[in-house]
Amino acid sequence: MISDETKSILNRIYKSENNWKATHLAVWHFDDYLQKEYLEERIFLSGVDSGTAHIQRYKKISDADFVVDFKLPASKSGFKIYKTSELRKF
Amino acid sequence: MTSSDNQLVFGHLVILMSLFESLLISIKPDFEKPSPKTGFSHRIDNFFSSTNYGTLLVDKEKEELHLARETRNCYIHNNGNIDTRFVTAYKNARGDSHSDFSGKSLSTVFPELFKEIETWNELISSISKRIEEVLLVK
Repeated sequence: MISDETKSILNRIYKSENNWKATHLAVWHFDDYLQKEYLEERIFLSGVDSGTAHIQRYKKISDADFVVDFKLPASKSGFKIYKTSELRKF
Repeated sequence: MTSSDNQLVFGHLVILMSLFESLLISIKPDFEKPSPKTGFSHRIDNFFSSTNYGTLLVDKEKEELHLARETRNCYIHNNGNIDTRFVTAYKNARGDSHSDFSGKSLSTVFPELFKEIETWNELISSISKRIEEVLLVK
């Protein structure tokens, strides 16, 4: 039997793991990955970042496959999602 | 963006360890009664040596949990610098008795800190799931 309190903590631990993988975890890996493998795009992304949009978050899908969410300017509010395999097309 | 990596990583470890301890306390309230002789590793031993949870944790996992906690403590209480308790925990967990740790910080001991936290996150989540399975059949 699981008390409500224990159930709540368990959910927070599981959620914490998911959030971690969805945000903080991927920032590091993805940025490193971009700098090593996609330098061209990294520069491009930096330009975007300083101008019209900023990187909202990185999301790790697996060790080699990432999705990036870009928060567009208010006038174009929304998110676009790209897999790393699609970055060169971006 | 990457300049705040360590802060994010350590922050996550702090939250994670607090949640894990809260989990154990919610199941066994006496887990939270520390005394000079009942440090974290002893309390973990006590928890996982009890009948229901006796086979849930292997020694290697126990040592890693201890290392994670000492890492958290050094971040919070020692400005990110390691102390003797951390060194002991590190040597026990990683089997490394030769490295010179003098004057080192957490960041230099763990050049790939992010991956360390990832491993601990998965470990704590895995142990929590095992605990939940025990609770469900009780």
